[in-house]
Amino acid sequence: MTSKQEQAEKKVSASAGSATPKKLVPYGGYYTNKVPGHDPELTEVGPGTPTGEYMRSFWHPVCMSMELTDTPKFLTILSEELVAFRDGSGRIGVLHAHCVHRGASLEYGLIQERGIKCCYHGMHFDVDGTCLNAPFPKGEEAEAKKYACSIQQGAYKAFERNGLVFAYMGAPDKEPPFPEWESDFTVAPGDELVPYSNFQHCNWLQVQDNAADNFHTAELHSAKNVVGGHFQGTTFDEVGSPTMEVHPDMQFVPIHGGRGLACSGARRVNKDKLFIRVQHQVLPNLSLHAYTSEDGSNKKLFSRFHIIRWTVPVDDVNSKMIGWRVMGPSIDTRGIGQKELVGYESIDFLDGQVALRRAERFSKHTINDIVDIPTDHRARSNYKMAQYAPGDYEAIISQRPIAIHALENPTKFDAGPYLFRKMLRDAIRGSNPAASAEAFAQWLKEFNGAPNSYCSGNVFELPIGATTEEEVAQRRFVAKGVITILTESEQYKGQERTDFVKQKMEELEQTAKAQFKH
Amino acid sequence: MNQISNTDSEELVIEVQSTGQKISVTRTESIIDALARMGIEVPTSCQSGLCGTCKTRYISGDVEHGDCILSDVEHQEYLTPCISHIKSGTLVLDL
Repeated sequence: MTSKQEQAEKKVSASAGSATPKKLVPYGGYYTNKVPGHDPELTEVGPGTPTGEYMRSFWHPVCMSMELTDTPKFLTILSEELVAFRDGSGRIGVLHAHCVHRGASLEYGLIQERGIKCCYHGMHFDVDGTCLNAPFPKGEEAEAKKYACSIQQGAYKAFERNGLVFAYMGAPDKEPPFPEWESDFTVAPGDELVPYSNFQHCNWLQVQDNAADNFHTAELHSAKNVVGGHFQGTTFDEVGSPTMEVHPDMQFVPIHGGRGLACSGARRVNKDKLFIRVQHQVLPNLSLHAYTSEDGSNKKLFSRFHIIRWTVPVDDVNSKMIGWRVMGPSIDTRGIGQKELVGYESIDFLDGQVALRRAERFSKHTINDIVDIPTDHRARSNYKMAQYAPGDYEAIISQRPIAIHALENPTKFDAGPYLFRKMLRDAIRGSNPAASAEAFAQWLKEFNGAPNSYCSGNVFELPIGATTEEEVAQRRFVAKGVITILTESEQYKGQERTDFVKQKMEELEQTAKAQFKH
Repeated sequence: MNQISNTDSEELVIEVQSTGQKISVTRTESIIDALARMGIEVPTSCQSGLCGTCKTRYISGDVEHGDCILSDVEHQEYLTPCISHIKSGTLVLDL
């Protein structure tokens, strides 16, 4: 926010109208060389922090199922050191890593038919943390039992779902429903949820910011920004989705009582078609993305989820994008998704979302392998190539380990992330009671854990406006109209809602055709 | 994101406290633009209530805040004139 210095300068400027603020002095880097701290309220996630406590009120994916093998998986999530494993009976354990006896890490423990046994002194824990056995010498079984009953390994409820391991790390008596968005994540028959995990060497919030930053695609992911023709699959032009390289005209609308944000973007496909893509951001760290490969060639109303993604904090300076790519003919109408590129440290829609570029990721390994993740982005052998054609990974993690909001100079096009940050602040401070952890859980229960989403991809047959002014007015009318329809449809579920939305969108198209000059 | 109510045709006025200057504004005109008409330039950057460059203190008034950065408590004393509007009556700015 504005500093006292700037306030004082403003007073001068307001009265005199001429003094140049120091931050605007040419060659004046000296005046802006001090780096203030990050915003701890929104970025820090350890136990007891405001955002950390809020995050612990939700289910999060913590790793992929493929990461669970015959040895325990060491994880850091929300700054807590954990081990995850699948025991011999198929149950998932997510336990504090350090044995409650004397602190050895259970990542060196032995997975049992039931639970896990610490390597050091053999303390045996069930997946709920109960000590099943302490191996005391013969004749001292009674004392062993008494001791075992006196300890409990820290444990979190967890389950597997479509290749991801989910855990709830909050207070047991406040456990919320697992949100089954639209009851089936909008997966059509014949389509499937394909899991992936993409590590990011930075704070979680700037990764989440990027999801609501619908403007970066037209620059970061555009062919015009690749240096010297060194293309590496980081641009939408290369994958035949040039509509995503058009600057969208965005309408950002807080929805669901401030628990979510609808980001409705209008992009002109050609003189005959208008593409309206609605992305749905959900507090605190979920994003629901419509079809990422739309070329706008055919009319399409109410196409649904293409990516379901959580930004899960590892610690304050590391995070993971974990989620599902929806794959199959119903969602992927162009048939260009590549399942063999979706998984651990890889995603198919663009290269450059992870530290390893595909050439390295797949040089000695397949998608089924756990690969080592480079930790220093500048030490990568292909650093220069990444400079030629940077991707999301380079842009996001290079904002500093924790992006410093106080140094940002936002434009109006940053309204998405800024609104989302405000909604998060209001939720954790309690200034929006509807988005508090308790109210959020209650809201999910009211929908039997299966709320509706605003996420949708829509291509309208709407000719370009006769003038720029007409076109701007038309695209904003339609982008807002889509949000209004989706809000009206909240009273319906499933097919009934789909029919309602499509009918209303047809009417919206007709209204726009009649209302604007073409 | 900025819902502007349009209830009546009551005159909306901006008053600059230090000079006593007054100017009439419409419900849709930004306070920044109205001040510019009075010859008062308040620095802006994002022009959409995100950066706080134009953050200005006000003495009294019924404000429709449109920013994404000020808390409810701050709203009682400050506004971002680039995106905020007057809901009714006179807005007295600490300028």
